[in-house]
Amino acid sequence: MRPIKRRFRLLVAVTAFVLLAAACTGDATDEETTTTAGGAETTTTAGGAETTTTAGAEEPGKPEIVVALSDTVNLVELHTFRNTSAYAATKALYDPLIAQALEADASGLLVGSRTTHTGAGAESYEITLTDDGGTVATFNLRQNAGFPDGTPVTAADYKYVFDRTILGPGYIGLLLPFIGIDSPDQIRVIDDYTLEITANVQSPLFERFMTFQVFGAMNQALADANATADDEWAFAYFNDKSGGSGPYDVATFNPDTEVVLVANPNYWDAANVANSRVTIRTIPDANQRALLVQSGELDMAAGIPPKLLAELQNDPNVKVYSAPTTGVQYLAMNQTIAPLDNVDLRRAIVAAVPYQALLDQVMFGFATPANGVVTSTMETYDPAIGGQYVTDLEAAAQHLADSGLSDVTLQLGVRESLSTDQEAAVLIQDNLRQIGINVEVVVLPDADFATRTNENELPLFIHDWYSWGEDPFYQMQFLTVCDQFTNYARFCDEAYDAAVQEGVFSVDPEVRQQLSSTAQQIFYENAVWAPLWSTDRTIVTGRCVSGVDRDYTLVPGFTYMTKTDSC
Amino acid sequence: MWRYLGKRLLISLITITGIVIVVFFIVRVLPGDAATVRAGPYASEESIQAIRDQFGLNDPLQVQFVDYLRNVASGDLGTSIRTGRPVSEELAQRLPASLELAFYAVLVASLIGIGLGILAAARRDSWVDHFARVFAVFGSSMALFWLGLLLIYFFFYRLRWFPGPIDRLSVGTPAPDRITGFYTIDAALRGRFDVMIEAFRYLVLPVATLSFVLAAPILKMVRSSMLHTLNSDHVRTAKAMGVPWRSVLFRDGLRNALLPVVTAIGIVFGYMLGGNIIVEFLFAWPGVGRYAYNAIQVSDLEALQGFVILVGVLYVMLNVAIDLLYAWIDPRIRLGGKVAT
Repeated sequence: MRPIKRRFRLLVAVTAFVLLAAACTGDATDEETTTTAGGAETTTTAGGAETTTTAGAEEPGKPEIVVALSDTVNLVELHTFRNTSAYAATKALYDPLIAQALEADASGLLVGSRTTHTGAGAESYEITLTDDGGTVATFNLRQNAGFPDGTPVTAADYKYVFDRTILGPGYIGLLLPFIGIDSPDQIRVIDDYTLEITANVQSPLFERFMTFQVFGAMNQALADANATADDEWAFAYFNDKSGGSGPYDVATFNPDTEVVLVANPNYWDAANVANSRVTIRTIPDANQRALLVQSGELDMAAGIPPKLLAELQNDPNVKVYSAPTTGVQYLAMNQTIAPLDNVDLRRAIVAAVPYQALLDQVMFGFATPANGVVTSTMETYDPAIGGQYVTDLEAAAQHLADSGLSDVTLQLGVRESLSTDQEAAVLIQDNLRQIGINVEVVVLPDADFATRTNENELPLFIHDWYSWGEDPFYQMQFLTVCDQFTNYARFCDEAYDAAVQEGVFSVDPEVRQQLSSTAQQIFYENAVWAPLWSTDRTIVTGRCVSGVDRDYTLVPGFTYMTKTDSC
Repeated sequence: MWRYLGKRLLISLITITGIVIVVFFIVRVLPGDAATVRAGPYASEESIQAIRDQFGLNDPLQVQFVDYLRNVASGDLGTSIRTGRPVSEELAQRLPASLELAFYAVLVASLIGIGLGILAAARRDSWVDHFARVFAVFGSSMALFWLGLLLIYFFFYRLRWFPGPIDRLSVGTPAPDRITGFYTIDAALRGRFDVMIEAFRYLVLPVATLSFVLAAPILKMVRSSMLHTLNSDHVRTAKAMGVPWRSVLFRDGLRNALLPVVTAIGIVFGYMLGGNIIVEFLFAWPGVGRYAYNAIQVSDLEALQGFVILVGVLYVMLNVAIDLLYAWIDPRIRLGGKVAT
């Protein structure tokens, strides 16, 4: 019997060791409970890693929605989020002044209009173009809007968020020059429910920017109460808590694992929020996200690869929503690195790229041709110019001969996390080989890729971009004007820059079209990129889920999402 | 015994110091700039520099190293550049999930490996032995992610026997109040047996994935060690003297074969502490492995080095525990071979 006893002791000892190690990792009693300004109760574990807030009661009769996005929600701070999933969470928490008018398309997708905007935090508004070339906008705020803690939303809360953007350390301030705002003095509180914004330019982007949640009201009293000497705008405080007056509040925040949002009872349109609670789960593997939607455990999933989307389209248990965007996936050619400083070589590459094969075999139809820096889905796109982006290996070979180069070998950098880019790289490599250009595909960790593109080290690489507001001049300004830090191809042309600069602040549609065409032609002639495709925005939901939207942000909104037991 | 323990602890301390130093330098030669990633695609050079200043990445390496040593000594593993939270607290929050998974996986793997290993050795060249050997070959050659995918597809998606890879509990089930961090144990201690059963159900597929693969080396070790022991002189003598077979098998065979098996289990458990990243990724398991995966994606250096230090320290602690077990099982070790044999 002794050996058995000893084995039992051994098992007990190992178990005790494991339990001891686990117990040492945290202390359940080490909690502190505080009450926020409005009476919402917050429980924070020792490390502040998990936050549970009871704000507002769940509404009976409304369903709870469970979703998985393409990435983890690691923080919900309005001005320092770092990925689209966190951005989606902030969209649910903060209420901008106005919103895009939504209209259902044939598939039931609620599509935001680029031309018609409607009140959100503001009940009504008026935008006036002044004789001195500026803009004055007056927003009349709703008097029934409140933060989750019951504090009413006032004009001061909107001014606070603009002040925070202009003066704080976040990067959202980069947007404001596009609409002519550079000083807090341009944002005036007329009274509790009237806000006036004076811009020193006239920009077609002004109205669009006002729909962004990054300019949504932030509870100033709460922010002031939690500001510190080192953090005067309370960025750290709002990493895991909401300061907004949007449709939801944060109920549970477990970074990388689960974020639970509950309906904000004081939201001005609370009655029309279609669900009572949204749970955002982090499911890192896209295949598992798809399986979970198919099985009904998830109501919605984002970030599903195109190949899998094509399979899911045949599954009666799910719905695949797909809508074009103005985003662009492009093959950048760094003009400061030889031999890509040779325009004929760049033209050869542009002509050799298998555009249709990329759409069919990599994107499985969930993309549209990009056809330039101003994509085919964008305002002012010129089809006479964009239509020239076609595969023509003979022309490519001729361009290569014109370049005077031989035995060209290039490295093509792609990101480790993007399988579609890697697949595209292989097809591009194959076509370039056919005209005599050798390409070595280099798969880089995302952080390494970002560093190398920033530091001008990659000659040839696949990158992507999506412009908030979907404006062509904004897109060109960021991606292709001289010395812009996000101009990764390092293209520089004075005439191009002049056209773009003029277009950014032009509100005349005809002038904008002319300037855009000029810029697109210069872009094409200089073979700045090979524009590969414009990715569709795709969402997969359960069969009985409805109310999926698509607006400027491209991230899913949850407000109108609902589900039924049968359909 | 105390002298033996003191010697082991001293060696452990030196090992941990070595780990801390090596980790600092290795992590810094990894490609990628964490500040660039944190700054995001819209970032200007100024904002990237500001982040570098904030996190001390512009300081000379020796200054960073001294700061790092000072902080690690005080239990501060730095701040995650990805989440802005203290790394030690984030790891502490996630470690129980990893330990719970590892514990049950090793437990199941040990039961399978030891049980099958004993049977295979006791009935050498029988069908049981052949089955055990085939099992070991499959277990050794099976890729974790592939097995995990298969189990999810069949037992969750097709058959619906077990829940999907969505976390440790279903959506809407609140976690039991924390005592150990093991949901199964905490739920039982709190009297929430429905939650305990649910936690076990969520453990089944990831544990099955891991234990199938982990059982193989244990099985092979038990079988070979048992065969060696059963062929030794003292066992033959015991059999010749008419000692019952069951007693020979367990008292004379297993007892003497136990030492290398403890080593194998220890190695397997140590591997589990840092090596189950794939399973945690696949099953959306909120443990330290997935935390490390996320950190690698964005070159979150402090989170990454915190993870490696944590795993290193746990591994060293585990080795000390195994050494002590050794000494307890075999008196010759703790007495430096001075016992009469």
